[in-house]
Amino acid sequence: MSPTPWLLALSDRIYRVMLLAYPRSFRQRFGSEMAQAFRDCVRHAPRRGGLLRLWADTLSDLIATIPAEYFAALQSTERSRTMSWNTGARDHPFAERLAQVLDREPAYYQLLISTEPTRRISDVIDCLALDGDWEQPELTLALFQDLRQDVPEAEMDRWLTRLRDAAQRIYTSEPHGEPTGLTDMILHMIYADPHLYELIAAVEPGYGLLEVIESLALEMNLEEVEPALALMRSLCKEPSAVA
Amino acid sequence: MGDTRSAEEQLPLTPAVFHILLALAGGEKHGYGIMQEIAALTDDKMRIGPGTLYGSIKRLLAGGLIEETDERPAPEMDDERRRYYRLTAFGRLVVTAEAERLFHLVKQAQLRKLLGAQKPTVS
Repeated sequence: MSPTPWLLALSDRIYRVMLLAYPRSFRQRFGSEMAQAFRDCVRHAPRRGGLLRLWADTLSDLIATIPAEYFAALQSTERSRTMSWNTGARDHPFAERLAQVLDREPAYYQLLISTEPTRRISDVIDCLALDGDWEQPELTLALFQDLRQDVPEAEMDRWLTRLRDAAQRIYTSEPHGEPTGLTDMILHMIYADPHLYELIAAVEPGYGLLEVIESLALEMNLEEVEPALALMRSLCKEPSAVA
Repeated sequence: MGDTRSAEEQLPLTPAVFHILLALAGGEKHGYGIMQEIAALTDDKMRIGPGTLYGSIKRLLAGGLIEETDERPAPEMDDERRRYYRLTAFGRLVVTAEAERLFHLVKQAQLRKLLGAQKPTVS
């Protein structure tokens, strides 16, 4: 017997809350995938020992892996500090160098279209790392995260604005074909509607937007894209509801 | 860029990492697909949770043993939100080296008559 929809939804929500215990960078990169995998586990729990056993396994998994990820994040930050000193990044701000790379490679802007609005900047950096330290993209990413804390807010805002403008320009000037799914369609409409785009860009720090889009895509279907966008507009008017 | 790293330097692998690489040796998979494959490979004796799975995936990506793939299954077979992973050439070398290491250990166990013999009883 499959779990009832409310039990599935409850388990999903509890797990999503528990995911907040992971380091932010890890959660941003893998949180939605972990939630998806957990949902799949819940759906198939009756065939695999039941929901209670799944939760027992999941809790021990959380207890074992959360400290490990914090330890890994600490090590990564320490390595990035060493790297920034060794590579002279203090003299040439990394953000500026990233912007130069983006100027050289329009394909990265395409990537930004699907990543920056959802704050999965780590994907962009992983890509950019191909131009940097190819063998150690994690270091490059860690350096970027480290830099975000050190760079003056105005400087980072200027850089992010530049990226957003460029991404929007490319998106509107190059045909993308028909969106194939609801998440894609929502992103498509975000870019097609400058007002909505501004609302979403104004949600600072923007964390949580991915979850908003994914849950909209999960809970609604293609015919309901307008209500989904209306809900997103209302969420964007109340940033605290999104963050 | 040539990869000058040695597969042997990566050994021994943790059980979770070995099982993940073994699951991906059969073809690209998304996270839950990897979990299912591991359960099938081990007759459901080994289960890994999402935290262990994605912590390992993070390190395997950083180490260049696996990569995310852009190729997607047919839309009707796929969920667009999922990400698929596959072994890199280096990852295949590493999992092969680990399998050979384990095979050598199993042969040692056979030589010591630990396999195939009647299980000892505790009196």
